[in-house]
Order: sequence, then structure tokens, then C-alpha cells
Amino acid sequence: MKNIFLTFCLLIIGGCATISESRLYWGNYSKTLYEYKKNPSAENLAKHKNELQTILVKSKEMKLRPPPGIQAELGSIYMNEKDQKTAISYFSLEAETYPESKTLISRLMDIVSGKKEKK
Amino acid sequence: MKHLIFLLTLLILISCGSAKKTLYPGMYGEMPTSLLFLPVVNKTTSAEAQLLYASTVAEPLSNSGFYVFPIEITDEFFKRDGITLGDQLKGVSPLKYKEMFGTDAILAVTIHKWDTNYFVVSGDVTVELECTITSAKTGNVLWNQRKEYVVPTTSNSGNILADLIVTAINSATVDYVPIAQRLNIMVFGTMPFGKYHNRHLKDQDDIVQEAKK
Repeated sequence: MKNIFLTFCLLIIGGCATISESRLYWGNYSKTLYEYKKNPSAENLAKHKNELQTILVKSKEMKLRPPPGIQAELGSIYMNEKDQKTAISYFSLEAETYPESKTLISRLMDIVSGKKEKK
Repeated sequence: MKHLIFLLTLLILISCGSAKKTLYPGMYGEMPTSLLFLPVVNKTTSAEAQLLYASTVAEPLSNSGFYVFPIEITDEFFKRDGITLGDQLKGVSPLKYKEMFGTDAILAVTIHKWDTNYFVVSGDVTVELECTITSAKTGNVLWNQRKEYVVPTTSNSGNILADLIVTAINSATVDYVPIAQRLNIMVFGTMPFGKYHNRHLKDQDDIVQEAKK
């Protein structure tokens, strides 16, 4: 009797667990992005860029796939800094990690390599 | 004995709500791999609301296994086309986004309400959101929901004096980022798992507890 009750209790608890365990490391992404969007200063951009780099390093350490978009976003920061080579390498990494990004990445590659984008 | 089992079964049903497949039939029907966030439609006077949304929405959906396009980059592309507000995208065919970004589906969010409330020992944010996921392949609406959420901004420690002080400090400088993150988990936390989740297409019968208002 007690066992049945216990089983049911477990079922209630177990059956209702809804939120998936996170298998991605996002660090303080939301925080640094929000600060930068709110106040787009060079300092806040540097902080956000640093956070993106940290996310990639930590993901690698934990043998996790980097979160979607992080490599592309870091690449676009390098693109804005006119560091074409680094930008291209991050864009390529995003496309390798996530084939879904192919169309977006090829548009970015066109921009970074100076090809005129057709609209 | 029999009665007890019956009662407990009933309890499970009441406390647990519905299976994912009945909540998200359209999502399972087409199961998009990638999601593009459109610029938000903000019907409130709070500029904060859309900043918070854009900064926090990627995390929960990527944790559910979707490829989410980097919002900072896609917003930049929209800007190049003269689009900064979600309202400007009304009437654009969903298929257009597949061509532009290669996405399977788009997520459009309208913020109808963003009210911050402070009480003596607690506070909350009341948010009304309308979310629609539309297929960029077929144009079909895969999921649509308009709902009000209440997210507490303070935790109740049981010590009234301590809570009073904490709330007083908080109301001056509330950090809304974690609140927006909590809200996103309430809104998107039960989404069917996408391609990059190890339970992809194995969660149709998972039971979802209805989010309390």
C-alpha cells in the first residue's frame, strides 16, 4: 500500500518535469548583450565580445556544442572591426557547427569579402 | 484501496495538464529545425521590454534543441532593409524569410502588456505576450498563443523586515534580465524538443503542467 502511494507520488513529480536540462553554456550572454543594447558604448561592446569568447572557450572545455549564433555573432564583431580574416574563420565555424546557418553565413561572407549583396 | 488508486490517478491528471502532442500539434506536424526571430511588435510604452526580449529569447529555445539565428545579425539585416519595428513586417509572406535566411520557421512576438508592480514586500511584472511560430516552408501557423504571465521580482524569505529592505533596494534597481529569462522559460520551456536535443521526437507524450496565470 505504502509502495503504491510512493510510486504515485514519484509519478506526479516525475511526470510533470517539463524543463529540459540545458546542454549549452550561455554564460552571461543575456546580461552583457542587454547592457550593450541599452548603452552601446565601446566598453560594453568589449565586455560582450569578451563574454562571447568565454562562452566558446568554456563550451570547448565542457565538450559542448557552442550555442547557436555565438560564433557568427563574434565573427560579425570582428567584421565591424575590419578584421576580415578572423571574421571569416568564425563565420566558417558557425556554418560547420550548424548547417542551418548556411544561407545567412553566405550572405555574411559576401559582405565581409566586399562582394556586393544582391537584394 | 481501489478508491485510493482512482483518487491518485485523478490527482495525476489534474496536476499534470496535457501531453505535448496535444499542445503543439502543428510543431510536431512539421518540426522545424531552425527558428528566426522577427523584430518584436511592442504595443507597450516600455522600450525596456523589447530590449529584454531580444537579449534573452535565444537561450531557452536553443536549449530546447532549435537552431536559432543570431538576433543581433538578423536584426542588422532587417535594418539594412529599413525595418526596425515588427509592425513593418505585416503582410510579408513567411516564405520570404526562407529565401532571405534559409530558416524553417519564424517566431513573431507581440508584447501587449509589460507592467511592473511594486508592493510593500514583493513585486512582479505582468506581461501579456502573443507568440506565433509560422512555417517558412508552407506558411502554415505551427503554434500560436496569447497569454498573460506574472513573474515575481522578489522572493519571499519569510522574514518581513528583510524582504522589505530587499524590495526597497530592488525597486530602485531591479535587474530585469533574470526576470525576462524566467518569463521566457514560462513561455517557451515546454516547446517540443528540436533536432539538437537528445529527446528530439521522443517527447510527444511528455506531460506539461499548465502554466499558472
